[in-house]
Parts: sequence; structure tokens; C-alpha cells
Amino acid sequence: MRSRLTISRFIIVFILVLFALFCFYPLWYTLIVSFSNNAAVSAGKVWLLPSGLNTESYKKLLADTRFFTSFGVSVIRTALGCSLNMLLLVLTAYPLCLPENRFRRGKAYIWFFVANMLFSGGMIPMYVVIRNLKLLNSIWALILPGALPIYNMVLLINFFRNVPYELNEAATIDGANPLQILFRVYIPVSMPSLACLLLFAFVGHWNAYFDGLLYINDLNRQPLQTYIYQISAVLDPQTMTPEQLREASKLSDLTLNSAKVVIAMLPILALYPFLQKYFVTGMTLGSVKG
Amino acid sequence: MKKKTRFSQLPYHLMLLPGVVFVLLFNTSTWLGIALAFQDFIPSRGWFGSPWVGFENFELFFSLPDSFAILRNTVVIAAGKITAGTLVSILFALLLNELKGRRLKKCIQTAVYLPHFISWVIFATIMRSMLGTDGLINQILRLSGAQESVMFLGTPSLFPIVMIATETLKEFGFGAIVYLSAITAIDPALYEAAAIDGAGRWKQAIHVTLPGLRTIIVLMATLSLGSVLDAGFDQIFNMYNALVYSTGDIIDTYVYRVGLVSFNYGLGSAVGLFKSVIGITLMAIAYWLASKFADYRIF
Amino acid sequence: MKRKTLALLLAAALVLTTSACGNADTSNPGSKESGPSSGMPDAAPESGGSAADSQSDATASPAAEDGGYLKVFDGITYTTIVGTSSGDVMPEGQTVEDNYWTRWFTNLTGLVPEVIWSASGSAYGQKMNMMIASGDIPDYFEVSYSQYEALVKADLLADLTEYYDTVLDPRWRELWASADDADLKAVTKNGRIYGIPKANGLGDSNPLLWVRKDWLDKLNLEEPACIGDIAEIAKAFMTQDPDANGQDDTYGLPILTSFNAAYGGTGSVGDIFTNYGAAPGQWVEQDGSIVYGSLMPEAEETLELLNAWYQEGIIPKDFGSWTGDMYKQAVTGSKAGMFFGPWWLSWSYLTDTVLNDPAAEWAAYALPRESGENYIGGAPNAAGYSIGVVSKNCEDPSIFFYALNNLIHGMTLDSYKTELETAPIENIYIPMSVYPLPADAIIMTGLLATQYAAGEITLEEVGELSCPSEAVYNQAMAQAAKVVADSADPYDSMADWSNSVGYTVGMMALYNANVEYVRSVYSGTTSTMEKRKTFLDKLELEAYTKMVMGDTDGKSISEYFDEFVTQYLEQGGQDITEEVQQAVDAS
Repeated sequence: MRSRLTISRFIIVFILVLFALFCFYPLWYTLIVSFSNNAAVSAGKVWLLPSGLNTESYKKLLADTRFFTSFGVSVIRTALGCSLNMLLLVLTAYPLCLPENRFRRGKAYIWFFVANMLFSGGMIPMYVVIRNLKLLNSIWALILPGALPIYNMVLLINFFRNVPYELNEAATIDGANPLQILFRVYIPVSMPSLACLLLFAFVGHWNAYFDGLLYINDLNRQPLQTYIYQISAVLDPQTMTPEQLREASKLSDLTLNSAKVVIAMLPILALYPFLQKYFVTGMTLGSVKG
Repeated sequence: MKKKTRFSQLPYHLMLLPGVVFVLLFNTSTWLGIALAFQDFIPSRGWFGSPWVGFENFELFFSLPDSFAILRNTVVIAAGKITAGTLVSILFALLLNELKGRRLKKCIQTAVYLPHFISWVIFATIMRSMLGTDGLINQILRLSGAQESVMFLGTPSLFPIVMIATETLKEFGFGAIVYLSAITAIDPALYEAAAIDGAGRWKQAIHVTLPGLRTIIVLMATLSLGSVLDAGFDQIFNMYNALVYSTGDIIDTYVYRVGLVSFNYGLGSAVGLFKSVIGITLMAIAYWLASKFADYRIF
Repeated sequence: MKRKTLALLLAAALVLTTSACGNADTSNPGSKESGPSSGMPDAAPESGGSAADSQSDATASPAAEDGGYLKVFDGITYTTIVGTSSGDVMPEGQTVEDNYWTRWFTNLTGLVPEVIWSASGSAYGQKMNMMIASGDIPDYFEVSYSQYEALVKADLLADLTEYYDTVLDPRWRELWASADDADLKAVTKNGRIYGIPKANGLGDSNPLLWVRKDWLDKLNLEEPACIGDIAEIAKAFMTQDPDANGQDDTYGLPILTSFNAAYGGTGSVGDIFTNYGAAPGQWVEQDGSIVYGSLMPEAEETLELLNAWYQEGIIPKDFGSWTGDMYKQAVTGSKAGMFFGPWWLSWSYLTDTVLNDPAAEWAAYALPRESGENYIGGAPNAAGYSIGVVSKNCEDPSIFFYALNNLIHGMTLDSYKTELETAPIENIYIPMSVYPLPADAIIMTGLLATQYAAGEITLEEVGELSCPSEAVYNQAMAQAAKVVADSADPYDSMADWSNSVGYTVGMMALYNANVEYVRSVYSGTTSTMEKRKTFLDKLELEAYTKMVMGDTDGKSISEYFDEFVTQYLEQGGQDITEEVQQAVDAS
């Protein structure tokens, strides 16, 4: 019994490590490309180790003021956006997690939200709405339209429903109002779920590029991923004129672009351990919510 | 008690108000644009002045000799991705839960979460070189005795599988996060009880962890039905080619190519509407099935 | 330096007409004689602050008049958008909105561009599409051909037809005429012109056959003289281990699934088709009626040839799934000794190859079907143009035509040379960049550089044989070629090397082959095309790729080709052909 367990445990570790290595490779590849020289990369000679330790691309990157301006925009956007997201998420999810005898119109609200999650008029009307609200070129154009991430809200409703309802009833009897119940009872016991949703919100805001492209005209106000999107163009003869192709292929700098991708990922890597502790260490037996 | 609940409805409506306002303002307000699907939209004339064409935009898509194939490819690839992604994410969460070393656990979990942040442009480049005739996969196959190298990206029968596999590889780690956080919500008392009953780690995983994840699994599956016609434009666009059009061309890549020939706002809107209708129908069915047969309210 | 190419080529545009710039008719009315004395730059306001005090659009108050063609405005502001090159880093004090060249432009024309936004790569097109769809467009901007058609259909553009006759300096018309007016014809819709087309000059995207000269020498192979010679060289490369690594791991001739004669570009076999008499992707006239070039019997003949190459292993087995980066990898990693690509690949493919393998030496060929014949190249179609357009809401579109006149004038002034040399950034930032190129602009640069490097002409003669505005650039290219030719180590300066090879090897291959061009007689999108073209394109690409691979369901290539043609015509190709015939007859 005991030896079988060790073997199976070994197999699990082996499988997981294999998974991990496989998944780590793309980032590793991007990293080594950023330290290699362009010619070696384009010849496919770089795949396990960098072709040298060439910090040229990072030096170039430091000189690129636009990169850092957009980095700052992304930081602000993510901070504002996540705060608003989380606030609206908890405010909306709480009433909707309640049983029908407590809040009667819950179902109607939910279907309203779900319908809005699936149906949208598309990009053109959205642009027109944002233009008419005079939000073009403002950071709010990146924050307000997705202020309530409906998909995540549905998840949170379910997480909230897993909170033992007795806690709610006890607090009600103590005379707590709905906001107090939400902030003093539900939120403290839902930290793993909220950490998970905060991560989604963070990642969503940090990685979004298309809204920044469409709604922001001023280059100094565009977020980082919008900037990165524009440098990592695919050379497509069908959408680019010969002239554009020529220019793009001459300028293509794989190592510099990789350096930008690497730097752009740093905040996500930096934030992760703080959130991760909620849903990874929490798993060890006995250390779950109190 | 009953009276009291009636009086306490207002705070809930107030709590919902900001969310409702934002959604009305930025989403419901764009629904007018669905009209584009039934118009030959001409920007200078706007939504009210453009000529109405009925279902012509839909017919344009469905009258093509290959529209059935495109639809089939989309559903096959999207459904495959949903299934494989869900299964692998859950399996991974369960396996990770069995690990003891906290540090190893964290490292592994961080590693698998990373590919989500690499764009498909870069990820596809890496995958192509791995899957090429001289790539890593074929070298492994050759070492294990295969005579001919396999054209993973040039064989129609393999292409959807490759798409499902690479997407799963890229996204399962990120997808597992929601399951991992759900596992933390399982009452530890259940494990203790199971342990007292003599259940080993395996049995605990199957009889405690998995049932504990049931709600979230059903929820995630239902939500993913909403995107059953989204097979992943960025991925396919970066990896398909003329050899695998028969199994790899999906709705979104087709609409993209139409856009290269001429601007057709109506077609894009019609296809979007079609996807939404299918999505919400499937979700409603799932919702109804769950509540009817399992007496379970998904959301 | 490199991007100056384009910029300076634009300048070359001003040189008028074909081949010898010396032939240019200098007795044009107006500008030539009186130009320098018109004192334009002084008359125009300094840029910067001037934008503020010029609220009203198009209240043109001529500051200087010159033969009716020159007119400098009093700081009229117009809105525009700018497409930039990705990865551009601007020096201190220069921005996309306000830089050396925008100020230069304002000085010259009296127009103040107000840049609403700028973007690069495909982002530029996406953002513009959103603008077009939402119906508010800037006063002046530059679009692709499909965007042009959408804008015309949406009725958002000003009709510019009259200004071509009343305002535009005739020298511009001569420039378009050097390419048979194909560009102007392409933008003519129902007899009206809504845009100012910029062409890229001929030869810019034609795929040349680049061959590793060092490998040819090592294996004692003759240089290829016709398409038929390719197979032998390819087989030698595959089996005789030219890279001396002890393995038969070299590709014969990698290609991409790029058969279109109009796009050309990297990995394209479009020009093999044209030399066989077909013209995939183009509309050509045959026996008095219009046919689609992909359906011609000559195309089948070419596919048989490619299939034979494929069967012999010359074309890689999995070429159908190759992408541009894999193609580049094979070349720059010395896994392939031959590839197809335009002359300007010297700036990326070739430099990367020699950086990885300093022994690499490249030759370029434009191979006709039979040796001694002229080379037949595909000419780019309208999809390759960018087109300057003016919003319908702009009160007076003529200001942009006066601006063009001022540009052609300003760029032929001697001071322009100095400006080019001293500018902190490259002149691609001139706000209006729709200058057409004379058809042979690029070849001329190649020819002069080659002659100078060979000691046949002096640097002064390079300048004299070039037109004034092109002289600086051609002299620079000639010097680069000379440095490389004289140097013991040609790779001493990679910048010189790539400039030199691009022109003296790449462009000269096209020049030496006496290239003739086959051009599409129609560029628009007919109503059936809107509905069926996407499907038909897919059908075509799939069928072509399968025929090259011999994956033809057991049928012979010719049977399969006939079935493809029948299906193509049945599925809408016939209707489209008739529509195109009508459109061509009508024009």
C-alpha cells in the first residue's frame, strides 16, 4: 500500500513537472530570444539557450520613452479598472446570490445580465456610444464599458452561494444591514474566490489592447499592450501593401520585441504570488477558511 | 418575517443599480446596432437611413457551398476545446491538490499559468517549429520508430486535434485557477470524515473533491456554451493554411477574409447575432435541464 | 538610412517619366523657371503657433501664385491621420504630429496638418475601418484600395475629378502616364476620381530567384539561364551537401503558397506563371475577351512543372503549411540555397544569412521560360496602392492639389538635397505621401549604382544622369556599391552591403532580364465578387496547392485543373467574368 502510494505520487510529480516544463517553455523562449542576436533567431538557431548574452535590446528599450509612458497608462488603468470591477462585482453578486424568498427579482436581473453578456451590438455601435458620451481619448473609455464583468459576476454569485447561509441569517438577526453582511461576512470568507476574480480582472485590464487602439487617439495615453500589439505585426501580403511589407521586414527586430513582451509580463508575474497564496496554499488540508 | 423581507427589497435594488446603469449605458445601448445584420449598412446614412435587406446577410453566409463545412469546423474545434480544456484543468487541479511540497506546488502552478499571457502570434511560432516535419514532436516520433514524419499542420484530419491540443496547452493552467480556488472552499471536515472511513487520497479525491467541484464544473460548462461558435480566431488565423481549409476554416476566419475583398458590415453583424442566438439558446437549455432534472439553479 | 530609400524614391518621382531623367521636359509652365524666385518658404507662416489663428478651413488666400500651379495658403488647418512604421523611435523634439517634415510641409504649402491619431501596422487599418464605419473621417488621409472602394460606396469622399484638370501640375499626370495610367484607371469609379493614387513603381515586389553563389561555385554548377535550369541546381543542392555538414539536409527550392502574379513578394511563384503565359489573380485580355488569369491553360502547364518539382522533392513536402518565418529560417539558417523574394530582401534575409554564415554569397536571377527570352513579370494591382482621399465635408479639396504642386516644386529645388541630408528624421513623415513613382525609378538607381561601382561613370555623372531630387540618394547608393566592390571584406559595413546588393544584384537582375510586365486590366470589386470572391479565392488556393502536391484524388493534373475551372466558373466565376468584361468595355 505504502509503496504503491509512493509510485503513484512519483508519477503525479513527474506528469506535473512535465506539464510545467512544457508550459514554461514559451516564456523561456521569449526570454532567450530577447538576449540573443537577431540573425541567429531568424535562422532558428535559438531554441534552448540564448546565442550569447546580448543586452542590446534592453538598452534600446530603456531609451524608448513611449514604452514607459504606456506602461504608466497601463498601471493606472489596471488599478482604477480593478477597483471598480471588484466593487461592482461584490455589490451586484450579493443580492443575486440570495434565495428567492429574500430577494424576489433576482432571476430577472440575472437574465438581464446574461443577455447582455451574450448580445452586443458589436464594435461599431460601441464606438459610437463611446464617442457620443465624449469618452474618446479618455482613460475612462477603457474602464467604464467593462465596469461590471458579467461572466465573473456569475462566478461570484455561485461562490457566494457556497457561503453557509446560516452566517447570513445570524447576522440578519443581529441587525446587520445588507452592506454590513456583505462586507463583514461574505467578503472575509470568500477571499480565495475574490483573489481569483481579482486576478481575472487584473489580467483582463493588463492584457487588453483593442479598446486602447480604438478609443484612444493620443499615443501617450495608449496602454502598453496596444503599443506592443502594433510592433508585433504579422507580415501579411493580403492586408499590407508591398511598401508596408518592405518597411516592416526591414525593421523587424525580434529580440527587441521579445524584450518588450518580457518586460510587459513583469507586473503579472509580480502580482501573482500575492494572489496565489489564497488559492494554492489554501488547499492544504485543515487550513481552509475559519 | 414576511413583512420584513418585503420592506428590505429596496437596498438590494440599490446595490444592483450601479451595475445595471453601466450595463445599460455601455451594452444594452449598443443593441440598436444589431439592426446592421439586416441592413446594407452605409456609414454616411447611419442606422436609420441604410437600406433594409432582410435576411440577405444571413443568406450570403449560408448559401456558400462550404458554409456547412465552416460551421461544422467551428463547432468541432470549439466543442473540442471546451471539453479538453475543462477536463485537463480539472485533472490538473486534482493532481496538484495531491502534491505535498508547497514550494513545488507553487512553482508548477505558476509555470502552467504563464502561457496564457503569451500572444498567439508568438505561441503559434513556437508551436509551428515544434510541430514541423523536423520539429521536436516528429523527432520523438522518429526515435520511437515512426518511418514518415507527420505533417501536423498540413493534414486535414489532424488539424482540429492540433488546434484543440495547443489551445488546451496554452490555457489549461489559467483555467485551473477557478477550480483550485473552488477546492479551497470544500469543507475540510468532509476529508476528515472520509479519512476516518478509511478512504485513501485517491478515494478522497474522487468522493470528496470531485463532488465538491460539481457546481463550479456545471457552471463553467454552461457558461462556455455561450461561446460554442467561437473557435478562436487568433489561433486559427496564425496556424491554418490552404491544405487544411477543409477542416480548419472557421466562421471568424471566413468573415475576416470576406473583409479583405470588400467591406461588409452586415455580414459581420449577422454572424455575430447568429453566434449570440445559438449561445443563449444552448445556455437556456442547459439551465432548464439543470433545474428540471437536478433541481439545481446555475445562476 | 534604409527607410530613406522609400523617401528618396518618392523624390525620384519628381523626375518625371521613364528611364532617363535627363529627358525630362524642363519647360513646364510655371514652377521651373519662376520657382526659385517665388520665395515660398518666406511667404508661408512658421508652423507651430500658426494653427491657432487659422480657424476657417479652406478660406484660401493665395500668398504666392506661380504659373497658376503654385499657391501657398495662409496657414489653413486640416485634419488627418498618419500611419507609421512599427517600432519607430522618434528623436528628441520630433513627434508624429509635429516634426521636421511637417514643419517643412507647412512652410512649403501653407497647410497645417492636425494629426488626429497615428498607428502602425495592421492597427492603422483597423482603427481607420472604425472611423469609416462611424462615418466621421478626417479632411485628408491615405487608404488602401478596399477602404477606398468602401468609402466611395459610403459616399463619404469628395469628387476630385475636376482638380486633376484645373489645378494639378501636369507633371503629375506624366508620372502616372509612365505606368500607363494604370493607377488612375484603378481609382476611377463610374467615370469620377475620388482619390490620388500612389503607385510603388514597377519591379518592387517581383520575386527574384536568389541563389547561393558560393554553393554554385563549390559544386561547379553553371548559373541558371532559364526556369528549366532550376531543377538541376536544386537537385545538386539537395544531394551534394553544399553546406558540408555531412548530411543531405538541404532544401531544393522552398516556396510558399503564394501564386498570385499581382502580389508577388517573398516565396511567391507568381512570376513563374507569368513567364509561362498565365497570370493568376489578374484579369487579362485574351483573344479580345477578358479572362481570369488563374484559369488559363498556361496556368495548368505551370502547375504541371511545379508538381514535377514537388515529386522530385525540390519543393519541400510540407511547403503548404510553411509560413513566412519558417521560410526565412530555412534561408538564413543555410538550409536552402535558393529562394524567391523581391530585391529588398537584401535588408533582412540576406543580411541575416551572411551574419550567420560569412561565406554566403548571393546572386539574383529573373529567369525567363527559355534562355534569351525577355522576362515577364507580374505588375502589382490596385491592392498594393495607397490612395490619398479627401472628405466630402472638406470645403475646398483643391488645397490638397495645390499642396501637391508645391511639393513637386519644392522637391526639385536644390535646397531639398540639403534638407534631406540635415533632417533629423526621414522624410516619410511628409504629411502627404501619395507621390507616384516613375515606372522605372528603382531600376534606374540600380543601374547607376552598378555603373559607378564598375568605374564606368563618375559620381558627378550619377548625379547628372539622375534628376536633381534623386541625385543625392542615387549618389549615396552608388557610393555604397563602390565601397562594397572595392573592399576586401564586403561585410565591413552591413548597411552598405545590403544597399549595394539590393540594387546592384537584385534590381540589376530585373534590368538585365529586359523585364516586361503583365498587368491586370481591372482592379475593382464587382457585385458578384462581393458575394462569392472569398469562396472562390479559397477554392483557387486549395486547388492550386493540391495540384502542386499532386493530391488530386487520383486524377491527372490536367483533369483536376479542368474540374477546378468548371467549378470556379459555375460557382460565380462566370458571372464575375461577365461583369468585369462589361466594366472594361464601359471604360
